[in-house]
Amino acid sequence: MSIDLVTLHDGVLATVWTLFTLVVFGFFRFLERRRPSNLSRQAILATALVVAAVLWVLDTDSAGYDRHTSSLTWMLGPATVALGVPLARRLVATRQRLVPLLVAIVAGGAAAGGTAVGVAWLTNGPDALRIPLSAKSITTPIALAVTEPEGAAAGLVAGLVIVTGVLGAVLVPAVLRRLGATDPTEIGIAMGTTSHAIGTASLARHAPLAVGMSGLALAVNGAATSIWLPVVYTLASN
Amino acid sequence: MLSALVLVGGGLYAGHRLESVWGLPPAVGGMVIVAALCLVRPQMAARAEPATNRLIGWMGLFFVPALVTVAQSWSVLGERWWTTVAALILSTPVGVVVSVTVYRSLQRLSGSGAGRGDPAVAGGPGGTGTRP
Repeated sequence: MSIDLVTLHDGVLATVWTLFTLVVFGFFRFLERRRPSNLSRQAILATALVVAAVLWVLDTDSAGYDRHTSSLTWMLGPATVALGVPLARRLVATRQRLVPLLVAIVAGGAAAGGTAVGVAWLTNGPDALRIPLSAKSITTPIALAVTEPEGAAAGLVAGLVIVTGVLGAVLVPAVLRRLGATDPTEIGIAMGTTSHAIGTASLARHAPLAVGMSGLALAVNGAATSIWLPVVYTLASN
Repeated sequence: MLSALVLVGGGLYAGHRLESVWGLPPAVGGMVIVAALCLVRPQMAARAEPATNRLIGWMGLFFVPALVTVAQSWSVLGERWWTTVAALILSTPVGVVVSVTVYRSLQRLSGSGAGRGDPAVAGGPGGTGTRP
């Protein structure tokens, strides 16, 4: 019996990195339960920083880590689909407010993207930066599809989308507190519109009733932006 | 558990099949399909909910590999990093304020309250599910 050593090596590394990520994430989730605070809630960010530090110490590139933990990334698909269940629950509870909801989501998404582009424009940021920023608040696959025809760098687009999600998970609760927003609908539309799936994931433990609305907001904002943003690009280039 | 697996797996498959029709990514399309199914068959949602909630609770873990890649390639922004950081930090609160304000204003206009407090959940177990 012959053993393919390369496959075996890859399999071992995939198991080790996946388990390591799981253990570190589980540790931060444990901390989050023991000492809840806005920062300790960022288990995603804390885990990523620990893993990045370990990769740096071991002089391992992130592409290898990404390949070995592809099973974790793949699970994003089923988890996003699962958002459909709380989304249906929230739609039933808020069916009489659907028009205000949809308008608020589209307006919030346009304001977030427009402000980011405006800041880049005011500081003489190049098109190579403005285009990825315009799609920063929508979920990664849609952002890539919308910006790719404009020649945006896929890595930069994906990076900005992910950083936006992590920043949103930290900033949005503070802004909502300032606004006195306690309604799960308001929390959900604000988080899903500005921070897509990462923000939605951060709500799962602390505002479970807002999760469904956040799923609706990320879907509606993604779909609406994929329609109006190409029109804006065309108008801006003329 | 099995019903959740069938619902989520079926939704993802349908999302893949319909991707070329409506242009939505398979996972987002699958979410819309699952939501539609749950609206038509509420008992299906009730059966699947415990398992899907558990999956959603761990969703953050699935973003870690992508974030690690970003953390290691931050230098790609070069001297424009401060513009990017300023744009990201300023635009998020603006988006939140606009979405919440527009929602509240339209709620007031339609005469159904100030958009605060959801009667369907306010008295439910676990309060309003806030603590954002």
